[in-house]
Amino acid sequence: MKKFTVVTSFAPVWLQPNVDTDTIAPMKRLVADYSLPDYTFEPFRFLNGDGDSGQLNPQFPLNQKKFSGAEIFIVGENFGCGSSREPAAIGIAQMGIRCLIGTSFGGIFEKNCFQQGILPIRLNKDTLLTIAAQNQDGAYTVDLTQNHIICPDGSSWDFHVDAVQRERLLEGISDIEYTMKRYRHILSYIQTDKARRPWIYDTACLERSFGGPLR
Amino acid sequence: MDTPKTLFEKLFSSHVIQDLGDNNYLMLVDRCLLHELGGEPIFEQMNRETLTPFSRDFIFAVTDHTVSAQPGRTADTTTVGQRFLPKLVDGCRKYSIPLFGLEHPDLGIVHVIAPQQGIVQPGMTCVCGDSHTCTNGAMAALAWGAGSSVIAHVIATHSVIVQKPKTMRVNITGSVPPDVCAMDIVLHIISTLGTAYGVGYAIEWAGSVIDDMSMEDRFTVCNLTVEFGSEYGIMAADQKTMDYFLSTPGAPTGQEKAAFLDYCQNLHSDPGAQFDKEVTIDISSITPQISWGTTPSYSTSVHGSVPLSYEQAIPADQSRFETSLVYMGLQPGEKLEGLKVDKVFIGSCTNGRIENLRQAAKVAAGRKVAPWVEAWVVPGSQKVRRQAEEEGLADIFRSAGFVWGEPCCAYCSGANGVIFSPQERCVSTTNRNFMHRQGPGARTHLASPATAAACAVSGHITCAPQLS
Repeated sequence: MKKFTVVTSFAPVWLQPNVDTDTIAPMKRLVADYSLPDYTFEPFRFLNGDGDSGQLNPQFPLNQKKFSGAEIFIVGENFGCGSSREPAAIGIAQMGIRCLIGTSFGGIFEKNCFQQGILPIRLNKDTLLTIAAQNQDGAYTVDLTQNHIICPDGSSWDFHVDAVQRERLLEGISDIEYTMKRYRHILSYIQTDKARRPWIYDTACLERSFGGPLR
Repeated sequence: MDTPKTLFEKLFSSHVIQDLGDNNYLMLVDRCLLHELGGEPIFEQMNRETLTPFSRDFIFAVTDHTVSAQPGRTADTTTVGQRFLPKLVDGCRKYSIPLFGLEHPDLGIVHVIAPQQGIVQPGMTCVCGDSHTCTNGAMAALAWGAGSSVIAHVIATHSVIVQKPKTMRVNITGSVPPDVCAMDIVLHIISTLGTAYGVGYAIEWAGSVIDDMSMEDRFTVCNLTVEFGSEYGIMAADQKTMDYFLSTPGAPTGQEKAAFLDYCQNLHSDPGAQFDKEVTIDISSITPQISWGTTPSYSTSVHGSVPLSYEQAIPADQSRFETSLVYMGLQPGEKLEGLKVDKVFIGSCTNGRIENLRQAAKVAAGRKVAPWVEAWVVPGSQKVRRQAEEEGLADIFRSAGFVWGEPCCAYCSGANGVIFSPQERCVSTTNRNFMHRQGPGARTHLASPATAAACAVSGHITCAPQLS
C-alpha cells in the first residue's frame, strides 16, 4: 500500500451532501471492462451524466483547470454513502486524489478509502466551511505525521484519524499484514471460543444449511 | 450488579480478539459471505497475494447479483453473468468454498438465504461484500457490509478490524395503520431524520411496532439501516426470532442446542442500558410512502407532493434538490399521485420474502396490470418461490399480468445488465433511488410491495386503499 505522510495540493470543493457510491462508480461501468478512473463521478462529471459523450461538465469542481491534478478533495456530508463497492475508492485513488476532507463519510466507503491509501478526514461543519472558503487562494498541506491541515492563509487545523489506520497509512502496510502480526491471538481466541460456542464451528450445521456436503 | 449492557455491546464485546487501541478492535467473524460481483476482485487479490482461507468452514458463496431473473434463465442469459459466474465458480472450487450456484435448490439473494438457511444465527458476527448485510441484524446478529479487500482480510484471518461505533436505539411506537408496510415505516423515519442520521452509530431497532412485526418485516427494517447512515442494524432476539431460526436447517441440535438456547437468552439490551442516542417515533398516523428524489430521505406520503422548495427537504440542499427534480422529471410542489408509471419491480433483499409477496398479492388479486406497465415479481430465494407457488401467490401475480421471475437481485442495482430505460418511471420495492442505479436515466420511486402492486394495476402512482 502507498504510504501517506504529507500531501500539498490545491483542493476542489464539492459540498453536495449524500453523494452515493453508485454515483462515484456507476454499475454500468463496473460490470463492463471500462477504465475506472475515466468514469468516476460520471453522472456529475459529464454533461447529461453521459461519459460516452466525453463532454466534461464545466460546473463539476474536479473538471476545473485550476484543480487538475488535485490530490485533496473537500466534500459534503455523508460522502460515499450507499453500496459497499470498493471501486468507488479505487476510482478516486486512480484519479490521483490522496485525501478527502469532509464532515462525515459513508462507513463502508470510509474503510475502503483507508484500504486504498486515501486519507478521509472528518472535521466539524464550521471548520470545514472555514477551510473550504479558502480554496481559490492557494494550496493546502495535509500532514499526517503531525495530524494537521495547513490552509492557504497559513492557519493550522488539527484532525484526529483512527490510530490503527494512521499507523497503516504512515507505514504503508496493508490490513492483512497488520493482522498477520496477531495471528497467534486469533488462533488462541478460536480455541477458547470452540469450547464456549461449539455450535458456531459445527460442520454438521453448515452442511444442513448448505443442503449437502460442503465440498 | 453488572452494568446494564446494550445488545450491541454484548454482540461486539463477545467477539473481540484484541483491543488495538484508540477504539479499534480485532474481532472474530463467525460467517463470511461472498457473491459473484465481489468475488472477482477478492479472488484476484487472494491469487496475487497468495492468500489462503484461514479455515474452510465459515465461508459461503452465492450467485445473485449478475444472474437473470428471466423465467428459464441459464448462466448465459446475461452477458454480465457470463463474465462473473465462471470466476466465482472457479474461485470457490480453488479455495473449497461452498457455492449456492444457479442449480442449487435453495439459491437466492445472499441476505435472504443467509437467515433462511440458518447460515447466520442469533449472536453471530457476519461480514459480506454488500452493504445490505445489515439485513441479518433482525436475527440479533451483528452483520455488516465491507469492500472486497476487507472480505479478503476476513477470509485470510477469520477476523476484521473494526472501529467501535456509538450506539443509538430507535423506538418505533404506535399502532400500524392499515395498508402500511415495514417499508413505509422506514421510509417515513428516513425522510423525517435524514439518510445521514445514523452515521457513526450502530442502530438497535426496538419498540412495540418491532415487537409485533413478523420476522420478514423485521428483515425489511434492518435491511434499510444502511440507508439511514449506519452499517449496523440489530434487533433483540425474542420468541419469534428463535422460532424462525430453529426452523432453519442450520439450527443446532442435541447438546449444542441447549447451550445455544441458553446463550440466546441474553441477546437483548438490558433494562437501563445506556445508548449514546435514543429516538422514539410514533407511526400511528403515517400513510403509504413513496420516494420522489434521488436519495431515500426524499420520500413522502403517496398522497403528498414534491416539496415547494429545498428548505422543506432533508437534506435541505439546493443543488441536491434541483438535481433530483431534473433527474426525476418533476417540479417543486408537483403531486405524486397520478404520475404515469412504466415499470414495477417487486422483490430484492429489502422486500423479496414471503410476507412481502403476500402483501403485494393481496393487492394484485383479481386485478390486471395496466396495459402500458411491465411489472415483475421476483422472489428472494427458491424457497420463497416454492412457498409462494404453493400458497397460490404466483398464480395471482401471473393471472394479473406480472412476470414471475427467477430468484436474484434482478432490477435492484442493474448489476445483471438488465436495466430500465432513460426517463422510465419505475416503482420499486428496493432500497436505493440513486441516480442511474436501475439504469442510466431511469427514474426510481421506492415504495412498499403493496404500493408497488397498486401502482402496477393502476398504471399510475397510487396506493392500495385508493384502488376501486
